[in-house]
Amino acid sequence: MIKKKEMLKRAGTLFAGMFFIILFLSLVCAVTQPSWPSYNVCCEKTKTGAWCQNTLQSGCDISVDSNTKSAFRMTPTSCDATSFCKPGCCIDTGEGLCMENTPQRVCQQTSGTWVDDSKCNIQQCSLGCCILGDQASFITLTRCKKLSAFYGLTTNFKRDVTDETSCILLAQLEDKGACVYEVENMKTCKFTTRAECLNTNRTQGSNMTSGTIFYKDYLCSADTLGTNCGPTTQTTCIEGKDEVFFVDTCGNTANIYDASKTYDKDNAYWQKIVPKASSCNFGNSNGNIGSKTCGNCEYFRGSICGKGSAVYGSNICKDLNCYDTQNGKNYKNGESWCIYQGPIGNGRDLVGSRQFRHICINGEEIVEACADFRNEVCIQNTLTTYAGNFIEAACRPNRWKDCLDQTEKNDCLNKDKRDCYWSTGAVFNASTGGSSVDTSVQKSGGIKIIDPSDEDNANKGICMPNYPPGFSFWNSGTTGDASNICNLGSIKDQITFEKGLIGGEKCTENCEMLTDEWANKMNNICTSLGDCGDYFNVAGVFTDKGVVWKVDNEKKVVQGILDSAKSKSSS
Amino acid sequence: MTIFIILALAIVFVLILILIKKPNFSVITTPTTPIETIKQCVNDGLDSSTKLIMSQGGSVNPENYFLYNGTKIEYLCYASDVYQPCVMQKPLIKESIENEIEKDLTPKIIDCINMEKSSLERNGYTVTYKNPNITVQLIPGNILVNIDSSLIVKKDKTESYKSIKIDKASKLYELSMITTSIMNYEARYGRSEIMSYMMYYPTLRVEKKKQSDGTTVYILTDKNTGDQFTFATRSYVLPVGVTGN
Repeated sequence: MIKKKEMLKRAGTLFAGMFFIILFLSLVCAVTQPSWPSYNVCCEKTKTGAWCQNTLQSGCDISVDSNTKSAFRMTPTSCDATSFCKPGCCIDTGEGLCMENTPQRVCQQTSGTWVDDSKCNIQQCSLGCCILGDQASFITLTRCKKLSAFYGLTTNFKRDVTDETSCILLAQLEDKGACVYEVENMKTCKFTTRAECLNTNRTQGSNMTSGTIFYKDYLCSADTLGTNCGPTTQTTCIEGKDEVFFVDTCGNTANIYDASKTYDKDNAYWQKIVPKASSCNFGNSNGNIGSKTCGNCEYFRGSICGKGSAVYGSNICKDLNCYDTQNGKNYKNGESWCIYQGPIGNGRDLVGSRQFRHICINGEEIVEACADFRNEVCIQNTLTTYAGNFIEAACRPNRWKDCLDQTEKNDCLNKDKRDCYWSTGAVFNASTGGSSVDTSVQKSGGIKIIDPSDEDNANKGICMPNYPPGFSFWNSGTTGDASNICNLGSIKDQITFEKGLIGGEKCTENCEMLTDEWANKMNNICTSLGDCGDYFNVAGVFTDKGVVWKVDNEKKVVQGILDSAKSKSSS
Repeated sequence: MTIFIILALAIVFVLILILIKKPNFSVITTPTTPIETIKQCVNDGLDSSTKLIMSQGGSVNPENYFLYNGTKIEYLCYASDVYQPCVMQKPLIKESIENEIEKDLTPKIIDCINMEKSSLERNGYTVTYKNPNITVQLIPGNILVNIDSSLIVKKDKTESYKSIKIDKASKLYELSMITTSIMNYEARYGRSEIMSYMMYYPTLRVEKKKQSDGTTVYILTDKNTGDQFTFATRSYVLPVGVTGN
């Protein structure tokens, strides 16, 4: 005769909790509900000095504003719906700048002009191409006028150019050449654009004793022009240009520096403009870095004009690449890559770890941390370009929040929508279903370990965060999210034993819960949920306070949990 | 031996010269006009004011700030709530910086003028000036300070200075323009791509320091001059965990 007895004297309770907060768990599991702050008031100014914030009523500053002589306002609605804090576009009419998402009150206080369009999609803020000599800037008309006036140029604004790249190309297409004129009967020259040459009459003033004549594509050192500007062996760097240039005796730039093309060696090089593509070593894979003889530098190949010893002059193509970076590797200028503090993905991220994006720019390695608590992850990709492989990395949000809601493997692994992985060998109990972040999951029984080799379990599993989130359990005085999420890994169940006729007993149901293997599997799930369970932290320290395994209310030691965690973190 | 005797005689000669010709020795030192002295004094004050303001997000006394390495960094674009774009706190940052420098510099300028006045009066001069009207202007590559105080210095002759103009080389204008661009990106997307700025301006370094509470501290440095402008933003903050609790 089989006598079933619900004993509950062998109950496995696995508490998956944040480190240090294990004492709270038995209390927190039952009562803590996610609490959303009720930001139901728009404060014109908060007590911390911030303007126009949706926040708690107690956070509003209601003192008297010294400017308006009336109290700062507070309205029980969103700031978007108020007149004073409505976000719009704030125009700086002096500088020609448009600032998005600016509250009306803030803009008017700072003497800006406020327009009701928070994205600044208005005529005054529309961008166009501003030609400034041989440079270009994609800015507003007002700003173009301001900058042109500052540099003593005529405003040249092209409204029909709608993107920055076309604008830059347009500047390069501007006619350039020798602008010849007389100053006190001395024929001199300025190497410039046609537009600027015409403007020279105005800028040179009364010293000029003749009008200007523009010779397209000619250098000022051209013999045929007969000016007082002659060739030299000196070189210079120009702001906004990559290359090293020869200069003439009047200080004008000539062609790209080439040690074999000094006037005595090749006077033709000093007559007309030689395009970059026809200059020395064009297309050199390293951008002529460090060359003493050729100044044809190329920013996108990692070089730019800078100080250095050359055959002629004191400028060379400076190296902008990064060598022996933090990970010991070399990177090209403009490359970016990810650095991790330990294993990542498949729920293996270490407690307290963060991801980093490193950038190699202008010869410097700059570190940009992705958002803390693994709210952002670093992704990288290698592109194949004409100059070889190029690595690019970026920090982007960690989309882990709906992983636990996914019940289908395909949905779970949809990389376009979320960052999750499919863990076989466990399922949420039938009543659990989705919305796992709700604490009701814990009440309904949590997770059940299954045999993945069983044919019936082939498609069963749990969808878990690929990069487990971190929690700031120490901040609010409550365990908040930490306990809510970590408690998903908690389970309380009963194990059934059969008593024999002649004594002894045999386990018949949920027997695996008594094994260390089961406890280790449960810990593995816990550690994938977030900073939960027994696992290693970023300092390499193993914390064993994240799991409590109780049988008959007596704590049991989980054998092999350290090895299991080690295996996970090094896999 | 002879050389030491010559040297000793030369020293004695110089000492005698100093004792006899003492009143005329001022011609050896660099002559400084009252204006030059005031300019030097204001320049020192301007240095300290700009340094302070540039390290604190453009404010002398930051009100809404993030404490970064012990320094209060003003939020220029801020959202207290999660998942929300920041709203501009100082939309006209250039004008705001000009006002802050002016505010911090005014008492220093008055002190400079008063100190020079006292010094001149001790030497028998009569000095008058009206309460100075100070304007600060940021322009590319420079900070211009104009002190309109109608300073009059009288003794044997009368010297009159309607205004004193001081300019200091600084990249604050350029850095504030980069700041406005970053602020717009933060308000729209909650982030900005720092590499693009450094590609366009190879002499610029932009550092982005993300903090645990969602604040981003930006440090802009002009590598040629060492000028540095630091400010903070908080936009599209992702809560920690699900609720941020």
